Amino acid sequence: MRKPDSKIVLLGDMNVGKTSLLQRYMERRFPDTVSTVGGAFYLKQWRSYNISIWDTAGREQFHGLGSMYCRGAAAIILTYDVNHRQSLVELEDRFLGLTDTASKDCLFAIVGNKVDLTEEGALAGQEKEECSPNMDAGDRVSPRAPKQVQLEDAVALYKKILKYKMLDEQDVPAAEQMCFETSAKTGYNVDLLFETLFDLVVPMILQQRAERPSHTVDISSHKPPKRTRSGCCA
Amino acid sequence: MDEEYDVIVLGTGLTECILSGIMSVNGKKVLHMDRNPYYGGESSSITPLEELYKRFQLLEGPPESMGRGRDWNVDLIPKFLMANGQLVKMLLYTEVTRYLDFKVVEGSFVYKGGKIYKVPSTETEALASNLMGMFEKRRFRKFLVFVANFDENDPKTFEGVDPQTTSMRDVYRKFDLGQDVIDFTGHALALYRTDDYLDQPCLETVNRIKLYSESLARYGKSPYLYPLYGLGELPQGFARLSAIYGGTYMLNKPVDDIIMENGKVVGVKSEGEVARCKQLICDPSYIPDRVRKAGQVIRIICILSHPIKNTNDANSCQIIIPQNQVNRKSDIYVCMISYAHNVAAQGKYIAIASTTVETTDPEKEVEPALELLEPIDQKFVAISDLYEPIDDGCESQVFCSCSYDATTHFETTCNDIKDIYKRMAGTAFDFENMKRKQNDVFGEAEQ
Repeated sequence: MRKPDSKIVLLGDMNVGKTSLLQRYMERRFPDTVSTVGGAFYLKQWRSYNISIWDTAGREQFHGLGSMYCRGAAAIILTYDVNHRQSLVELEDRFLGLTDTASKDCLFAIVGNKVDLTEEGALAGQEKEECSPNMDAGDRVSPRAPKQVQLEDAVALYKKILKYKMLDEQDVPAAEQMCFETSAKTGYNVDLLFETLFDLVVPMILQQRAERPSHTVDISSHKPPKRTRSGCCA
Repeated sequence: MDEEYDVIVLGTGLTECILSGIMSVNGKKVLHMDRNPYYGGESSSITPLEELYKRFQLLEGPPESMGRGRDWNVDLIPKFLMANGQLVKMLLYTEVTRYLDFKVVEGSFVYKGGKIYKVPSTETEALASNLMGMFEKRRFRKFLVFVANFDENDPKTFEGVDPQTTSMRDVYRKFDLGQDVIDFTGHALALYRTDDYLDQPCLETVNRIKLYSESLARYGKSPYLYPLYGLGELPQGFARLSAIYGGTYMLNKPVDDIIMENGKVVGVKSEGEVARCKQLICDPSYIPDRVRKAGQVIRIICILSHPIKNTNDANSCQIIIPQNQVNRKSDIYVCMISYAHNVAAQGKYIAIASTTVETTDPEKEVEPALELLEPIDQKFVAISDLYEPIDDGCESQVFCSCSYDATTHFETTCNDIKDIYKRMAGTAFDFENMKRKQNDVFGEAEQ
């Protein structure tokens, strides 16, 4: 496994659907039940670059994330459930501090998932559902509740994050570009989310290579030399 | 909590996190807790710098010349990874390497007659070195060839030496090596801290010299690796392995009581809740009444604004001060790293002097090391007790790790892990036990 060129991490409360989002994008599927056990690290080849995508392992979410998780991340996907306002509040209260170890020029995406469960999302999901002949017809007529979190709330959080990071709005992508409402279930906006970030991350990889040539060694790829001599004073 | 686990682990030091990872990979249900809000325990890297000042009760905090506090990740214990050592093997078998980046330490130096000399890393350097005379170099070369060819399973390589009975002193005598060469070999290559090894059977020493040579041959420059952002990344990497295999992690979780029944552990009480378990792993700080003191280590963390003199402006290095150079029983070590490893602000270096305590004035004991580092911007002095468990855990099922010793590598830590594993599992440790059991990297870029 070659070292990734860049790192994107998912953050957010339990059950907001982080793993479902990732699996929808990477595996084009939506499993009925999701546990992150066993699936916490994805590699995506985008153009000629390898981008790693980190998901929290199932039980790290019980206050077990350390500084390593966001270390050096080029982009962070802060995920909430549009049907649970508290999951947006948690992003600021519990998860924002963890992003201190990310790259200084780290990008942030604010993602409201599960939009398929809302009445506003019904129309957005309709198009995808028509492409899923196996979908239970009953789902389409289920009553849906109004959204608990509006897109403007996500935009407000994005701007608050810029203040926290002391970033100038001129120097980063616009809030409207970085706030998404998605449905991992229907696939709505999922490709757009990941591919927007991939496109934004690529120039960062190029800039990083130009600025900071790495002198790290890849200990997992080094082949032991033949023992024709000892290394010291031989 | 209020659940049943196979294993509960207390403390997120490197030893505990590696064991947690091994247990989870092997299908055990693991709960891992730490009273601190960060990973690493005694093996953590303290960040931001303000926290280090607070920890050492320097209440005025860091001056502005130290730069941004968050750029600092200061190790509490000074150690490097041997490039061919057991910890690197553990990282490779578990594939925890994917979470971490390493750099080669730029040089190793040995103190002799008040000066430091580079430990040669190439034949050219060896020929030019003033550490020994020309005729000694030829005898030393013959000795090193013998060591390189030595195979404990092949008597033809023994050249009359018995690995189980011939003392190392006799091996040196066989090759007619002088005292200077003996000191260099034992302390700068075999990395012994005392001279007790001289009268022991030679096999262990030969293997240690082999480990040094093979580690040096891996990348050149020095036999050591160091992780970007500090040693505190290592426990987190193994903790993530455990979490991916179902381990539950809780930081900032106080441990009120360890519950024993009929002399056997049955659970842990925290914040009024009880988690039950069959086995418990912990560091000494969680069971102070079940450990004994086994010595002391002094570590002085020094912040510098310059590389150490006569190291060719190295961004990272080790200096070994052999014990007989300064009339002591144990060697003094200096481990230096810097902003190049993302552990300090730009232009800053962190050098940690350490040794086993021998007198009632340990700071005076390390003065020869501190003199090499002057001028020092700031010093943080830590004198730590070394603990080891009183019982082996067979009856209590409480398995306590040993404190981190004064060595500047992790071989003793890995030996402790292997020993605890054997006592817990009832079978000898095998690195194969650490291998991931399923493919847990997904994506098109797998190679």
